[in-house]
Amino acid sequence: MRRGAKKASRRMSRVRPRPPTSNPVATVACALTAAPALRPLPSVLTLTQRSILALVVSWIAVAIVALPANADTFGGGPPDEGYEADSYLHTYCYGPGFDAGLQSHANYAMDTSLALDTDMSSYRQSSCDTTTDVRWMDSNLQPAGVRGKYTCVALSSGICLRADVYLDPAEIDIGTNDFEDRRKSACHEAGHSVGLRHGDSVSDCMRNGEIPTTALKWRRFNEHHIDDHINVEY
Amino acid sequence: MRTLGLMILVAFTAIACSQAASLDGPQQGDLESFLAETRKTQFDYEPTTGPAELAGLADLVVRGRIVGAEPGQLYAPLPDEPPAIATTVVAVEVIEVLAGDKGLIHENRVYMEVAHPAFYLEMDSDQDLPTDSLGEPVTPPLEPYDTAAFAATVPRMEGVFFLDDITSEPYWETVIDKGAGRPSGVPLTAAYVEGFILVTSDGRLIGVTAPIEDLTAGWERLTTVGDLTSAIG
Repeated sequence: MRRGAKKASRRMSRVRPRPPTSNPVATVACALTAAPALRPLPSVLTLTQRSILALVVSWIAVAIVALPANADTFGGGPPDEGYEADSYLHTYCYGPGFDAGLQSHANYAMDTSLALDTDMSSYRQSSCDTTTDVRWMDSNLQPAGVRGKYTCVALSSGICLRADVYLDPAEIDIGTNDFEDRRKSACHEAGHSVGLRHGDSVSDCMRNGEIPTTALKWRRFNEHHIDDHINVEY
Repeated sequence: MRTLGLMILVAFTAIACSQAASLDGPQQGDLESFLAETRKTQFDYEPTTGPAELAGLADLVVRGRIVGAEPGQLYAPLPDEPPAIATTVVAVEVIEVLAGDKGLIHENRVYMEVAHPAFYLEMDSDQDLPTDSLGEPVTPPLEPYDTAAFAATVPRMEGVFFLDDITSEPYWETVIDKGAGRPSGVPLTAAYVEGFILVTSDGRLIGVTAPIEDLTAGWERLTTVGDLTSAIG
């Protein structure tokens, strides 16, 4: 059996509930905070001590509520993350008219950033069909400032079966380091296609916008994205 | 003293629970559907330092109210290929021009394009899909995106819109139903990723394409329309 085939088969057969719209951590925090108010506090504490305790518990609850905004989640879908892919095998194709000057960057993102660096595999199909995971396109994306975009076009219970990925070379080429910048945007969209989230502070290709330097790290996924997310899931 | 402690506790609990709740207000159903659908597309974009910088880049910045939405143009990558991008045109009644070119306004309205895939399929649960020789699931044929259904979810809310003039900037040269969704000859705009901001009835700001809390520090600290308009300068 191919590496990961069993896992892929299992993933296809299970149902993934969509993430709840309410915040479960916050809900727990509410319950924790409300609990002391519903029953008497131990009598050994003075009223002042009880008040201070209540204040501390409240602050902890508020801090817990704030945590998810900064948590590095994965595969939950937009707005911050892509949907999970259907399996470790990530097939791709060039869409109609896909710019020849971008093809090597798409290949790099799929075959090197993903397949070489992680447990995933990639396979380029000669034409796009109903089994293709990622269709690469180029376009004059709107509005200004948009360098690339990812859209899932076939979604099943939080798993994206097919996605369209776009690059806008004219927009990417604004500024310097065009070659590395194109690779970065291709890697970025490939990252969304397996479930990675955005980040202006992350030190890999999932950062938004132009790369700050030509260092290799901006065209690849960092250890955290690989070891804690991609290789865990696929 | 004990009463005071409990009051503080209840106050913090209320704050925490209000953050835990999902979007509320009279537009809840529409707004949530609209956001869920709009945010299915993700962008790699050039972030700005804040509203002032984006206002400098935008062709027009307005405070206004969404008053309508209609299916718009479709775009195909090549003349003999099916469209890949469909759009909805959102009409905004202008309340105040905050910056930029008033020539983009027609009869006190601006028209703003929102893009979707032209073909889409969403299955409620994993089906026993057939697989190919590589084990890849074979998906059923995609269906034309229901732009009319999406248009019905667009909330009639007030917002601040940082707009780019895209009248002569199609995704591709092949445009189907050219001019659809807006009066003939009227300019077409698109909201910047950071610049599509709705205001709830209780005054909260919601970043439609990208949540404000995920943006750079210059955006994160904004909590009211007043903060936003002041930041534009």
